Amino acid sequence: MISRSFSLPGRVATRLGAFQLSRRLYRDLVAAAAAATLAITSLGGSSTLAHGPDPLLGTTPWDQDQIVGYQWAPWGVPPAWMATAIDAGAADVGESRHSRAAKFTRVSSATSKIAYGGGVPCSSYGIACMNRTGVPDHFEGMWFRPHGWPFDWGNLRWCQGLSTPANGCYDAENVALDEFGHIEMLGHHVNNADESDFVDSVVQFAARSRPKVGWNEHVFGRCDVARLQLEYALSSSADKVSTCLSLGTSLSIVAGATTIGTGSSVRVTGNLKVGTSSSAKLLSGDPLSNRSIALQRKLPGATTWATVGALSPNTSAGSYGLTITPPQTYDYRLLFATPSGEGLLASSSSTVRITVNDCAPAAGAAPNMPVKDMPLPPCS
Amino acid sequence: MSGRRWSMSLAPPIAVLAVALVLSRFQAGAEAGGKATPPVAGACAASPIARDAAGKPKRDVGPGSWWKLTERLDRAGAMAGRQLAVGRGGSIALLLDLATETVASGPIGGVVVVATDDERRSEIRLVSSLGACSWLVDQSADVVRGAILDPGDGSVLAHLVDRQTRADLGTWRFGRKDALAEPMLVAPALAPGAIDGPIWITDLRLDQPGHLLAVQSCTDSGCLTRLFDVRVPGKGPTVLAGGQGSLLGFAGGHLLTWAACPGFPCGIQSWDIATAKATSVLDRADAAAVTLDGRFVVASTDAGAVHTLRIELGSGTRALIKGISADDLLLPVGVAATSGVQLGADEIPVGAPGANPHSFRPAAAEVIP
Repeated sequence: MISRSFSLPGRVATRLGAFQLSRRLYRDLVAAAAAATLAITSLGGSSTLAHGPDPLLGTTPWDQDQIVGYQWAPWGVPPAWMATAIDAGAADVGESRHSRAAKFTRVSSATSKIAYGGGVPCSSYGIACMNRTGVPDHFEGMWFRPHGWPFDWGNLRWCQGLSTPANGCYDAENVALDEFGHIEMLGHHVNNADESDFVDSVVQFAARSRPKVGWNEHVFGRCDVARLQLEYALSSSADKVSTCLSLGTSLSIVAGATTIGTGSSVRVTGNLKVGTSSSAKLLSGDPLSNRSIALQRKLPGATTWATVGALSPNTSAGSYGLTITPPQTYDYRLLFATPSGEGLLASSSSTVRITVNDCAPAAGAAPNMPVKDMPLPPCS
Repeated sequence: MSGRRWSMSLAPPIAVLAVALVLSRFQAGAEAGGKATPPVAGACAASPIARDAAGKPKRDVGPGSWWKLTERLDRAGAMAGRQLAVGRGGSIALLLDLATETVASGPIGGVVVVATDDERRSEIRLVSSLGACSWLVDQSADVVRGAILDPGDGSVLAHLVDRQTRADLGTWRFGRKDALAEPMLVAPALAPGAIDGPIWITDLRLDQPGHLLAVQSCTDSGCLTRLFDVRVPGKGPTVLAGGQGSLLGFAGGHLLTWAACPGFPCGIQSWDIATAKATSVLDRADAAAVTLDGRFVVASTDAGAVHTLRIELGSGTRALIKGISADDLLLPVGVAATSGVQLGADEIPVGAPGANPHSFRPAAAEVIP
């Protein structure tokens, strides 16, 4: 109780810190675009979560990217084949978390213990279990029943403990990954009634034995990753959002100038973010880089948009840009189409008109002054 | 079930032979820490259950008795067997090297019930911590998966599965006083389809008066409990269905179970036996135990702390208590338990990993203001 009461405020502070940073970036971007139009809209609107990320287990997450060391319990040191499998499961977390979730690594001395046999406190019907009490300082333990443990149906066999894997054995690396998923704070995935979505998650109520589908998955499933991303955020703004999510996005447009002279160039920039939403949790408002953003234009009063080109990434996260030389006055917008490989919804920016003149407006006459002033004659 | 392959009787010569065969597997061993060598286990001359003048088993014999089951692993890390240690207080009375498929329960009246299977037949034994001896109750060609003592008459309630198919064969009463009688079915096998998936574990628990037998059948994702009134053979059970985890124990007209959780912390549920409905007792606990009299549930709510929560189930009164050392854990009771200690009605089992279990009396614990 005491350690949890200490840990929780720290986590809240961390999360608030991330949110405030995001808000600060947002304000900075607004200020920098003093001469341009800034507007944000989104298509698809709501940030609904589709298909069900794993439910939460517990309330206290680890710190982002925290390295959690573990050691073998002195009374339950696993045999080499099991040690290898558990360590591999820990490595699988780091390789498939696609988020800033904690990583696990075996060290020579740690408070977090993993045991093989030797008084397993799991439910009587469990082949492995864990206790995530102690997060974010440590986890209380992880336990694996030994090879040969008798159940009503027969004796437990770990595949890695067999010289020749046989049907009915359980993959210890898969089960270890499941347990590490719990320790992250993943609850059991809620499968469809026919379990057609079983491989969407490694963190299942019941592991599958060889050779059933999913018996030897060694990476988190997309709905495991979805929950990790919601709770720990993306590793980088270029990371793909899990397709187990369906998050709205927001796209802003900033024109370097809204009135330019004929033949002048103007840079159009945009910022793509996850839409602000409580359901998007830690992803809410986060920038999205390396996505495809298209610039479209139409004549004032027209209804049909035509694509002008694709924006290139800017150096700052979630920022894109394209320099154009408008031949005449157009309305412009940015478009982010729904991607096929990740759980983001399409969005388009508001419209900004870039007027092409042969003259320059008088100083202070318009709210949006050209950035690249040219020696144009004053407009009459 | 008429075709069951029970040993026909326990006529003395056969019993002696059987005991001798089993004793051939007994071995003396070093006490933990290598300080002493326990005496060689022997065959009890008679049932080790002490009885009062009326023939009723005495529960208060052998206070401080305990048992521990430890796995014996081969060089590849696979279970090669289990070693049973039985003792009292700080001393070991006997050690037995047994097969992998071995369970133990109790002690009650200084007697541990042990069921072990050598892949050809199962044996049910009463092991005495006082006499450092073992008494064969019965043998079965089927596999005995769990066995508990009925302190009302000294018989043993045992759950069986088929040796070939591992199908549930129900729970049977062995070793009635009229010992020549064949085992009697107490609780039939769970009907096919009553629970989704193969049964992984079947646990047995008898309430304090010895009237209600809880038979809990668990798949790999949850359990179903049937409650049988053992005084009324053939009476249909009360079924407690819905999300539940392993058994914790009886508490008056309620049965306490864990919630169906992936691990710990986990919630504790109380099932009203009359309505078969569950209510939450505690949202999260790392370990828990119920006193035999059902008055208290004691829960560790933070395995890293020394504080322990005591809930008086009748009133719901909660208190943080002292008295359980930081090394001690609340020990599970049931078919998968690896240790047990003789308990008074108001006690729970505790113990540190590898150490001898001992009892703890929550009613007497100091309350943290």
